[in-house]
Amino acid sequence: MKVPKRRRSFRKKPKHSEEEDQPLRASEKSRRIPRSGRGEAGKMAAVTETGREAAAAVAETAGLAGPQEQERKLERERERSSDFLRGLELVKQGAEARVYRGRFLGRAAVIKERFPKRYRHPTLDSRLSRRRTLQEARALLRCRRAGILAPVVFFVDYTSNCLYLEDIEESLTVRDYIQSIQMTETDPEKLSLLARKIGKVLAQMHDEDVIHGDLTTSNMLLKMPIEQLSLVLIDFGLSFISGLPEDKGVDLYVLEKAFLSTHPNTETLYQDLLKSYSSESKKSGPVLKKLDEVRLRGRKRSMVG
Amino acid sequence: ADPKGSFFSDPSSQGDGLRSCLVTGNHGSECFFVSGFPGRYTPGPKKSSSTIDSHGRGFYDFSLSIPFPSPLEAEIACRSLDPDPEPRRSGVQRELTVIGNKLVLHWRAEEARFFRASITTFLDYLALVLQTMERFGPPEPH
Amino acid sequence: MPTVLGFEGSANKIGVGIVRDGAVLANPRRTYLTPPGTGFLPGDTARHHRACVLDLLHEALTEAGLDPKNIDCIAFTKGPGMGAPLVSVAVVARTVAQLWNKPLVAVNHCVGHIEMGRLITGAISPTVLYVSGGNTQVISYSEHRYRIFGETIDVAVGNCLDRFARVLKISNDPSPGYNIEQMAKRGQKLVELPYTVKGMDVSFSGILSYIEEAAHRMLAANECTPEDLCFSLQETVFAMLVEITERAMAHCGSQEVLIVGGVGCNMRLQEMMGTMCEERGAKLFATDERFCIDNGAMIAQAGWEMFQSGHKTALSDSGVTQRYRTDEVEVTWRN
Repeated sequence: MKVPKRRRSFRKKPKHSEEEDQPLRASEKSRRIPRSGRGEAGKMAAVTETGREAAAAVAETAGLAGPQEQERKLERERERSSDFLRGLELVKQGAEARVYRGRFLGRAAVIKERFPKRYRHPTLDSRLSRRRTLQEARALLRCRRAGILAPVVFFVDYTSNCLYLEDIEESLTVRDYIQSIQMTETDPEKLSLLARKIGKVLAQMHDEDVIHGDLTTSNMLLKMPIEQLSLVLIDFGLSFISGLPEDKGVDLYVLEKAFLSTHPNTETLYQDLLKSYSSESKKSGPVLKKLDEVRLRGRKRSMVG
Repeated sequence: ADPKGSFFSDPSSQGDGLRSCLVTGNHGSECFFVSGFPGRYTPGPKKSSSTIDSHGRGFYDFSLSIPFPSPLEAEIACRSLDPDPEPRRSGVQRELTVIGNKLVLHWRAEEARFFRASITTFLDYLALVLQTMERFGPPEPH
Repeated sequence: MPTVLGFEGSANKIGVGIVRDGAVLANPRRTYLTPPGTGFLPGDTARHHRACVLDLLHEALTEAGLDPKNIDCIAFTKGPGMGAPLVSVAVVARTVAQLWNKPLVAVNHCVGHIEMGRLITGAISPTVLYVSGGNTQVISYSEHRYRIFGETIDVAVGNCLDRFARVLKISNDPSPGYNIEQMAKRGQKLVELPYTVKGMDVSFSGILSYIEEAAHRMLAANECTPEDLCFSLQETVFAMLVEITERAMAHCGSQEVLIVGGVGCNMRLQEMMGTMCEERGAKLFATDERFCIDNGAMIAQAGWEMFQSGHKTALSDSGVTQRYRTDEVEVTWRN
């Protein structure tokens, strides 16, 4: 059989690549997440009401009941989860998830619920919601293990596709911070420091083969006090694991476009970011080359019709 | 016979020298083709000086003069055809000028295939301009 | 009361339209069709356009009941698109502009789609999904530009559908996309395909190479029908488009969506977008094939807006360009 040229690059992908691009295998080992998160979430999950309920839900659905019985149980669990969430404060409704604020084991928590999207085919929808919940948890854990600041994963509820995460209190988005600095100050050095910090953190993340998938300045938080520049990455729903320079290049390209369209006249700032990325990452050479290629692809694409 | 077909066959095999032929335009006017094909494919001493640049490279040259009913129409044709440049990579230089009621065209290129492609494509557009004038002209007085 | 004549021919459709103050007076169009399994090549498409552009011009004037002297401005597509077809149409626009002594306005094809969509639907400040054979963009207007928030990082969605149609040898008449849409209605089974959203961008090349490779194998093994493949492809790529549109809406705080471009007349896409809008309390605007698919009136309409705000293109600046991004145009006619 003739294999199209483009496919070859897929083969070179490391075995652990779990890009969204690839159809998910039916037997996706989803149960791994809560276990690998044992350090932070497992210990506490045994104690609270919500934690116990949710944990019970997972156990129950994994039980030996017949398919119909199982479906009914799942349905009950989903209802219970949604009743619980309705009692919480809805922080925002994004494009793909509702975010609530509450407490988990006495700690401030945000709960990210990937609710069903009616416009999508139900099979496709449940596949995507489940996979994104899983990918997000996986990437968060991987980042934290590598010392990159990201919310702690308290608990993952697969029946309702909910993530229970640490609430980063006392923080503001990089987007708001840049906008406020641009409005009030003329000192470019302050923002340049931040840009270099972002470059450094992204270099660390990419060296761990984590591709964020949705980098914007709204998906980065700065913890108080701001002067310390402790940068927290959030919203890993589109993330995946890959060692390919291509994937890392596209990640930077997505950020570049979001950065420049959200913050006009920040081209030099973004250059600072890239410079720092390049000096901090061990593998930046091929990545930045790919970034150039991806940019050109956009410009060179013939746009017919 | 199709003048383009016979005329634009591979010049490299034809050696140098001037060739000419006549075609009839839409307005019943005559278009006079003049061309020289010297170039780097022929042995040294025969090279025409007019087609060797200061770096010693050889060129294909082709000129064409098309008479119009009036200088205004020649101008219109020139301004309709001139704005779209030749693809930069082709290395084709194209020059359009109006002398009296004539549109005078000149091509220069290093590579035969780009040279031929440029001329044949251009003649298609030129024919379209002539047809447009025929159906939607003559020009309104300014 | 300016009356503007518009020429369009950037891809396999050629159209001449006449617009006067928001009224479409004439809008004839022809499509260059190729046999199933084949696409349209620039040289052949240009020959097709040259052969019918003058007839179309005559038809448009007759239909509108107008003389050249009633026309105030000539608009034409400067780009983006295929070079040879663009030139074939631009040459005629320049010639008649000079013969009739009318000003010339060079229009960006994408801006033409947006302005036509706004005119027909009355959408005020929508997030625009522009989907066609050559483009896939999510656009929002701010500060005198149509800004691109998301787009395809490789092939356009229409190109993906067209090339899939070629694999199955689906007819190009009236368009491959229309025939896929009809077949998809009879599809039952959802075949799992790659789904690639990156931020507000999408990618279709992975889906295309996957389905190109899998189609024959699955059909031969009786795992699915051609109808199932059409259904699955539509469900997957349209879900991606609706998703990035929703992301852009959340990002810009917009409550209106306008779909334009040839793929935009697909009823399944409109239905999915409508569901998404309902859930957000937003409003959907879309047009039918007369105005979604490339046509002359859209160029006339954008030209009308530009002409009203004082634009004129000098002949020497009227060269066509195959690459002409939507955000390169300064939108002087909006606040």
